[in-house]
Amino acid sequence: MRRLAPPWYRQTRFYLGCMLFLLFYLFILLPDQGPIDSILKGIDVFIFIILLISFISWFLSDNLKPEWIKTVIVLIFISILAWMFYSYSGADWDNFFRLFLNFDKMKGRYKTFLKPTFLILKMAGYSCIYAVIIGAVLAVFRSFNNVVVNWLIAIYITIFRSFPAMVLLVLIYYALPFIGIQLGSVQAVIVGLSLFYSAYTTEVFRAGLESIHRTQIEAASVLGLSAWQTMRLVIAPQAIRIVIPPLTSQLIGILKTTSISYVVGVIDLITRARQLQSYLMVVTPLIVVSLIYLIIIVPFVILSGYLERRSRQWVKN
Amino acid sequence: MKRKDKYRHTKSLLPFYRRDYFLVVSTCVLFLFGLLVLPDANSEKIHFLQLRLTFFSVLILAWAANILSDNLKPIWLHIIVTFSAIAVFLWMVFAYIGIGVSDLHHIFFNFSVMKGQWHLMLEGFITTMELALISAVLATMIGLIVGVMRLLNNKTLDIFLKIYLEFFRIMPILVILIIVYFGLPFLNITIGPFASGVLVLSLTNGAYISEIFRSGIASIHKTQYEASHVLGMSFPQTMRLVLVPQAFRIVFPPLTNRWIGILKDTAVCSFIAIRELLKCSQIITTQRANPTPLVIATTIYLGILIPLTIITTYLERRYKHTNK
Repeated sequence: MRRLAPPWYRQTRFYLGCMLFLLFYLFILLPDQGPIDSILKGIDVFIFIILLISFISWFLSDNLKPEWIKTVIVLIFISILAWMFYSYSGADWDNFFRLFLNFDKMKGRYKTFLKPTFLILKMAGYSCIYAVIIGAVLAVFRSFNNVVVNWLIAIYITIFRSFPAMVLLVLIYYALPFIGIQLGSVQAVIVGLSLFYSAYTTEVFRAGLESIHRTQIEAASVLGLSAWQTMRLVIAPQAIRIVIPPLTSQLIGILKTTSISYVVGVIDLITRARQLQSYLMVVTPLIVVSLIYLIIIVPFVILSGYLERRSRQWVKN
Repeated sequence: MKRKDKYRHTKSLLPFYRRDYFLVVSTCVLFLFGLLVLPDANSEKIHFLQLRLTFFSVLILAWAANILSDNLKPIWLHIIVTFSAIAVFLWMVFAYIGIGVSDLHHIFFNFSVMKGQWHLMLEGFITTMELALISAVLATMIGLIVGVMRLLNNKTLDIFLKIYLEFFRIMPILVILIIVYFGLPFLNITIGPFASGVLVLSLTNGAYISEIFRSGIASIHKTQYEASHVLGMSFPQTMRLVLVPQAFRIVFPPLTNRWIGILKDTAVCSFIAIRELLKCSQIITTQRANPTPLVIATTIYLGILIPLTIITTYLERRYKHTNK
């Protein structure tokens, strides 16, 4: 059987023509190396990137092309982008290792980061516990389906969901002392974050409770289980499986949000890094801080992905 | 038949904590506990204050939960219990944390301190909105491009895109911001505060938005495209009548959620000397030693964000059923 010829835009000569045009653009039309200082130059580079991206998407969406050609094209694409970033950012890359990854200068100074790291973990842990307690209590009260209580809880959730976390912290730390509520900076962060995240955890717990059908509770009471037994043997095992994955992602959110605690004067990782940076005149402290955050958060991200996959499987079965 | 009469014959079967006398007894016991456990607010030294307050709060919550979970009790009782519990909590906050209510108005709503400073507030408001709008547009563009490129299912490309996505989703926004604003000048790349704010906000949120687009487009089955092709629809028609309406329902609610998130994240940019709403209000607050500007800024933030949040919740709830 004769195979149909592909349309013109899928033929090899069209691709070759596109590639030739892009090469022409790359060598002739693109401006010289150096920082982008005029708008014309910026538009030039921007158009090239758009053309490049559309070509690559067009080529990759062709199912008939073998995989290895696609891989080669993608690698060329990535290297062209990297080269463009290298040449048009106008940076002196010779100093990159001396300024950004200069771990010799950091020798013996890592212990300044020790205390702030524990402080972050402590704040995140306390906020998480309080947020979970508040969320669980509110979700239970919400499950009673009482009109007044539901309205009050809905107002609470809406207000704290629409607060920017930073504004909440500033308000707690700088405005409340005027009416006599003096909170230390760490306490202010804990209070702010637990209020902020309790709105989200309430929703999480509510979803968990709602996912268990009424009939299950009725069936349990028919079987002669007491309220406590129903909770322990019927409701909790199911609800926990549904609630745990979103709770871990809330915990990740709390860990990330602790980075803004500088605003209320907590001496956290970022403050320390800025001090060290201006003292040593290298950027390495900032890199170290981002590495610390990566080390703290990545395990939780992996855990939450694993839990989500498992719970999805469980729900399917 | 009245609700009460309907259940009269079941009354004898009720457990002890559902009966009327338990309601009276528990209220009395709670009152006694309040008198015994709670210390005198004016006394100098109080032992185990936090422990006592926590204990009493737990008791109040249990008491309220017990009554509110009982559907046989009349609704007015529920309302009374709710408001009395809230009143007790408020009273505890007032009594033990010590709020001076007398000059609340003078402290928090003292608009005379704002005299001559309104233009600064307006400047901050405009900067915040500019930052949010430009970042939202750029982030949506980045998200669309990256999301479509993820859908091409090329393994090599996926590796690079996933590195981008995971990095920007794991990192706190402030850490990226300080690396861009305080780190890059060492390499002789100098970006202004506003531009670096826009750059970081759009890159970070672009990572989230690309996932939204990817899952939204991927959830439409390939057969729909083929079916519309068989029905003789042209490509624009397929897009307009079949694919976009479905993708829109899945994509739009989380997308609006992210746009709200961008507006919230703009507050973080006050770290790098962008004079946006929060920064401006902080400046005036420290100048005048009065929290009124903070209250005004909060009101503006909430005034914009609360309607948006309500709209998003509504959209989520509305499209949840159509998706199934």
